[in-house]
Amino acid sequence: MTPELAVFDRAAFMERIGDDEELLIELIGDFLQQIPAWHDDIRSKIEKDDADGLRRAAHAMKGAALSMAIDRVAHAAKALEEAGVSGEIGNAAELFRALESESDAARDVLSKEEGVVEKETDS
Amino acid sequence: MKSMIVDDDAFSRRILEKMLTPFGECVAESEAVSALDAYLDALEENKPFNLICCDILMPLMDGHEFLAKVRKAESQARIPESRSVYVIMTSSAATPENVREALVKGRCKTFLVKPVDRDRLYKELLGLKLVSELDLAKTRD
Repeated sequence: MTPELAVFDRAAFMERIGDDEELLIELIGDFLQQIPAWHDDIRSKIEKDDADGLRRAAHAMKGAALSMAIDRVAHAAKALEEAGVSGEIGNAAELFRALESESDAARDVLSKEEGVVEKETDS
Repeated sequence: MKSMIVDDDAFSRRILEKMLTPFGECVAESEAVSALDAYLDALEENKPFNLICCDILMPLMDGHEFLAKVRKAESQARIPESRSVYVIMTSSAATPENVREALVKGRCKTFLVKPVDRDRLYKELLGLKLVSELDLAKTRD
C-alpha cells in the first residue's frame, strides 16, 4: 500500500484537462475498459519470464495511470517496470498482486466518479 | 500555432491535445514513423509545424531517433537552426542521459516530465512566443 498517494487525484487531473467533465468521463471509461488488457499483458510477460516485455507492458500502464492522476496504480506499475529494467523479476508475481489490488481500488473510485459526473450532467 | 503530439499512450495524447487545440491545428500521432511522414509532408507543402511535443519511449522508433530524423530533414531542406521546429520532449524517463540527448543533440527547447502540467506547458509556449498572454487568457474563460 502507498498511503501517501491518492487513488485518483481528481483536482490535479481536472486542472490538467481544463475542468472538462465530458473528457473526464470519456477517459475514465477508456481507462476502466483497458485495465484487463494491461493486466493480461503484464501477467503473460511474468509467466514467460520476459523482463524486457514486462518493462514495456508495465510502462504502458504506468504512463496512462500517470496521465490520469491514478497515482497508486502508476506507482505499482512503476515497481513492475523497474523490475523489468533491472532484469530481476523474481518478485514480479508479488508486485503484480499489489498492482491488481490498486487497480481494484481505482475501479471502485473511478466507477463512482463516472456515476456522479453522469448524474450531474443529466440534471 | 500548428502543433504535433507524438506519443504511444492514448491518454497522454488526448490530454495534450486538449491543452494545445485552443491555439490552432493539432495533429496527434501514436507512433514516430507516421509522425515523421506527417512532419515531412507538412514541410513539403510549406505548411510546417511550429511545435512538436514528443515522447521518448515508443516502439518502432523512439523520440531521440525521431528528432534526429527531423533535424536531418531540416538540414537537407536548408532550414536554418533559428527557424527549426520547436520541440518539447515529454517523458517520464527524465534520466540525465535522456535529457542531455534531447537538449543537446536534438536541440529540444525543453524537457517536461510526465504527467505534463498545463501551466508549465503554457509557460513554455509563452516563452517561445508561440502563444500570447491573450491566447492564454482565453483558455481560462
